[in-house]
Amino acid sequence: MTALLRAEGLRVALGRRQVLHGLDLDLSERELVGLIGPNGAGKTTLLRALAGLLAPEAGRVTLSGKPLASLPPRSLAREVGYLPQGGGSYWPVTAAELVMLGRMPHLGPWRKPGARDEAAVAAALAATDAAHLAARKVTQLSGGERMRVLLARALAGEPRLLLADEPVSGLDPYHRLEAMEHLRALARDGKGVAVVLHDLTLAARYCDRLVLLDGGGIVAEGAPSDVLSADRLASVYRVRALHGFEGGEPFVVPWDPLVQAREAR
Amino acid sequence: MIRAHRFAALLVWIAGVWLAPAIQVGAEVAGDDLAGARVASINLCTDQLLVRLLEPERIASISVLGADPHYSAVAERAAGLPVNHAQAEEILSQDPGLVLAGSYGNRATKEMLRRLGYRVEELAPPSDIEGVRAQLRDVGDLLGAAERAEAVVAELDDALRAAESGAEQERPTAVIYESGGVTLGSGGLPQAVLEAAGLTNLAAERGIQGAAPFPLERLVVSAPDILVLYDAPDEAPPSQSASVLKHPALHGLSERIEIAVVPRALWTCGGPEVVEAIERLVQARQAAVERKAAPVLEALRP
Amino acid sequence: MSARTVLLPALAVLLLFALAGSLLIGPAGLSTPEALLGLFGSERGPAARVMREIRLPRSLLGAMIGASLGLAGAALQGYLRNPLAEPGLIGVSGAAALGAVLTLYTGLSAAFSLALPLGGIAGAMAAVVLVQLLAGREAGTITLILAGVAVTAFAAALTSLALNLAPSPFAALEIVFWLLGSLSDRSMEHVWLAAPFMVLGWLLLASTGRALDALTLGEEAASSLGFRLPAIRLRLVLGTAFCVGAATAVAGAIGFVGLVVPHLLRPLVGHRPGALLPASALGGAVLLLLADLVVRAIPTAQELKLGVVTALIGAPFFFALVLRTRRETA
Repeated sequence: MTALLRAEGLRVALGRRQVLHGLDLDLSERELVGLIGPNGAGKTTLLRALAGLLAPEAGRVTLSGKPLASLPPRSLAREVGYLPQGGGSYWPVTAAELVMLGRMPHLGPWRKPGARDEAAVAAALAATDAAHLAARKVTQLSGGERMRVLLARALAGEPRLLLADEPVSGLDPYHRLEAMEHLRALARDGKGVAVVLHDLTLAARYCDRLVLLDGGGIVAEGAPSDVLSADRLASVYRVRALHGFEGGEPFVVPWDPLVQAREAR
Repeated sequence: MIRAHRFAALLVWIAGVWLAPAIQVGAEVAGDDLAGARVASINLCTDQLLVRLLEPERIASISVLGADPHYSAVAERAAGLPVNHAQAEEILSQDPGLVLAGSYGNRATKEMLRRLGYRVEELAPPSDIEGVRAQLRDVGDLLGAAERAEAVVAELDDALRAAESGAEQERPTAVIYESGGVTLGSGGLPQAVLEAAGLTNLAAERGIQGAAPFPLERLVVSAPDILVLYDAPDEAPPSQSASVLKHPALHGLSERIEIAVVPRALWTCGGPEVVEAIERLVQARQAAVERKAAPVLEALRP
Repeated sequence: MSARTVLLPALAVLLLFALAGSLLIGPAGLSTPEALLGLFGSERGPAARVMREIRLPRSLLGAMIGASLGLAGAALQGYLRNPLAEPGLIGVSGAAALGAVLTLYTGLSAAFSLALPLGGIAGAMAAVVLVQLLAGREAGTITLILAGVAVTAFAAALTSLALNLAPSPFAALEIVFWLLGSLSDRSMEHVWLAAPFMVLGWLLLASTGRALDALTLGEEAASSLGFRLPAIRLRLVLGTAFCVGAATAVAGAIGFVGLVVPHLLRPLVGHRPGALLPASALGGAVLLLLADLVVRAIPTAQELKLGVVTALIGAPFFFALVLRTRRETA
């Protein structure tokens, strides 16, 4: 499988602070990749750099072999969808109007949305089970409903790759599971999906591949069961976790904070 | 090179489209034959000149301020004259042969009237007695009312002569006190009028030029013979400048100070009404001199 | 949906009525047929001069300035995602006023008739340069607001200094009255001077409509949808400077229109910032023409200043806004 989006030797600084220290990463279609790591590991920075929102200090990000910096912003936007952390709407527009914003990379200047765009919006709303919310004001939706509408917004642009920053934070268990099901379904349908997660249980269960970051670099990468080993959870997360299987699928539940490990660091 | 050429062409276009009309305006001046023409005024100061110098039949209109007794020294004489609100459209319907305006304010209206082909004369407020005299004569000539103008100048000269008698022995000191503790120093008509009335402007003596704050404590320390106010202390609406008299700091002092009330209308514009300003100040001077000669605790004159 | 589709035509009709009222009402007391004949007829009598030289430029400027304020207000509120933003926020109004006041102060305004508005436009352009330099090349809204506030404060201080040092009370009074804003006796010269700047400003602001819609999702999401926000901000600042700067240059500072109009119309366009732009432009034109009619209808000794009237109309809306916000957050 050839990489759709590739980061090579990526170094990023925010102001004077070095956040990413030269990392390599491939993202492809048809897979759900979880970006995990403790607070301050550089997950969000990595996602923003991958979306072309941050210019790297060194190294580069390429989309199908072309550097992001060389791509017109609109054509990049058609290929890569980005769902920022804690997104919402500043104005009380309807869900359908909000989702239509996702069509912008496809609209010519001064042109109104056409039937093709309406169809894409309807499909995106249907894909996230949000069709019944279309006429509701976004500001009046519950957290789970708003998440589905925002996800639909990112899907409406029909990107090949979706980058989502902590899409499930703030959701209750039901809606977390539901959101992860949606993301997994998208990957099964052929999209590349990379998602920043804090919930290791969800990451272990739903992701095809996990990328563990710490201190601005990749510590481990691979199948969830390999990445979330007891040693790594201790050294990176400073926790002891329960490991097990349910119905053939592995689960990881963080259990105790490791006091000695904190002191050792 | 081509770029520079284009830029130059753009500049020429800008100049042509935007500035050309501005240049034409100056060229459009009416003839000098004003004998018998009706005249309008859109400014309080020119109102006061016009009403004194021209018979009412020839006055097309004066500004509403000129007819308002609160602001105008000629409100009584102006009763019954048409008024305007300094709008070009009103002037147009009155179609005067000349429009008098102040050199400050109503800029757009003055420009508009010139565009429409009217002769607009702007008069700057004079800053000394000679300027008052010269303006009276100029406007008299302009309006074809030289005789009336000479009569007003003669009135002015009479008042000045009357002020001179006795002024050489003693020149009492005076301070003009405006609302908010502002005084007027040298370099303007008020200073010239004070001088003409045989008074010494303390603020000018202290090096103050134009309008400047004059703190109450300086007033107390400098202890002028005369305090010149714009409105009488007990006149409605309550006046800021008069309220200073109630300040405890002035209690002891107020019995020694002569109060002169010279309304703004009398000496802001520098028209014929200056005569009355001089007369009022001369009166105050004489009272102050008498008071000094008889140092008894006399009640504060109203 | 139907309310939205009729909004623009309805506002356009209102604008036509306001224009008609502005053209037909005035102190010369022309009858409607006289006025129409004066405006469209071939004769060159006094009625024609009143209509074409005095009322037409006033009405046109009223509509153009109102549209500029409404449009710029809507665009800034959309960009900053803040319903309290108004065109003066980014410093161009204050700087334009300063530029014009300096021509009054130096006496340049008397040298040729367009010196004053040209000074105003120069002031607005200086503000753009200063704001862009201060706010830096990034798109941050906070730095833009801070830069605007700084420029406004500096311009206000210099304007006060000019007042302070004015050569005479008459000169000071003229500056104060000019600052209060007026459309009185402006000529077609003013229209021709302001029009190119305003049209350019309108086009720049209108071109930001789609980006403003995208900003509903926040700055990051808007960037990820293919909008270069620094470029959008530059268009916004330049567009506001061109049209609001020109408006201030010919008519003085007129507040509240750019704040109140977008606010009133926003619910009627379903809160979409892009859709609000044309509606707010039309609404601003209507409101300013009506305010100018009030100015002319109420005869006072000193002409009521337009800026004073718009503030008197606008402030109560502001009170209502505060009360509504309090209810919503309670």
